[in-house]
Amino acid sequence: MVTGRRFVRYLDLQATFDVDSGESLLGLEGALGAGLALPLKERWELVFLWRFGAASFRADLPGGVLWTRAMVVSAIVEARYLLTRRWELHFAPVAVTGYWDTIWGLVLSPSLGAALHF
Amino acid sequence: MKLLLHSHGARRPAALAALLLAVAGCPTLDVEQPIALVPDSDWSDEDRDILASAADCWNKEFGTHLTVGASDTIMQQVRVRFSDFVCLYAAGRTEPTLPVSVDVCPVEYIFAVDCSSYNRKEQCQKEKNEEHLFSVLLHELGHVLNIRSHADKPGSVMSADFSQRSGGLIPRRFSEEDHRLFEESNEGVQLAPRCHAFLVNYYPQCLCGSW
Repeated sequence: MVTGRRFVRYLDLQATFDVDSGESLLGLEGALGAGLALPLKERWELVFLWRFGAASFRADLPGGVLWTRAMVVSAIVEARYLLTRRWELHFAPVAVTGYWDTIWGLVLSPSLGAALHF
Repeated sequence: MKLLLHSHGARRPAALAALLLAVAGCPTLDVEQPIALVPDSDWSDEDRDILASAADCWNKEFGTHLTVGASDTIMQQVRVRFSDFVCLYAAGRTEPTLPVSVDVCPVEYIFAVDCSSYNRKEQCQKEKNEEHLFSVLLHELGHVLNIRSHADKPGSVMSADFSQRSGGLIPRRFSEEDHRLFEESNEGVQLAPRCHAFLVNYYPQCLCGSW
């Protein structure tokens, strides 16, 4: 989930909260983000975003349950399409997310979303 | 103000293994020179002994000069530490670029140990954990010694999959593939192996066989 606001036309600020659940892993992630929004065509925008935050993971491992945390840094290039005055679609073919806790781990993932302006 | 709902692709850190930071292809450490393995201060004497035993195995089999503990006279130092975060995708991980470091998942999370049929359950648990820590460290020290890839042959020290590597237990000896990987990763080095190392379960250590 993301909340955000546009400043001085091109500067996009946002706060995000993600829940990612898998078979044996639950991830909770919160981040603050800032981006540069460039208008492409009438309804299209290209947004270069950086996010910085923290993540907490609960993992069911063979030997027991593990909770651990990591710092999160994401770099995202996102295309946005304005459906209506209030709704827009977001698509990032590749969001690069780095997790740091004494070592780095990287995740590359696509991202698809919808935004409601209010 | 706006509200967004996003769906991400597979973001599970468990899927990270193949996407970790790029591994440099060149040898980082000079295996002909001493390498000090420096465990964090939270390592117990038992943990340090197990690290020393794993180092001893490589020294016997390949003639390397791994030692345990900080030293003012050894230039090449490798930090060794426990990390919960690394448990999300591996039992252990070696950062191959300088400063080289080894992160190990606390083994009690990684391996389910069934000691229910033992009378001395605590002793059984302790011994199994020691075996597992030994096996993980033995493997990671191969990466410290510049081996960047993994062995295909099950039972090899450098096999990527723990269950494949050990069948649940410690491999009994270094395989031919372990030797090939070490030689390919350290071309031209001149070392004097002491003996064939036979890895012993239940008190993790290496004994010398004959060449």
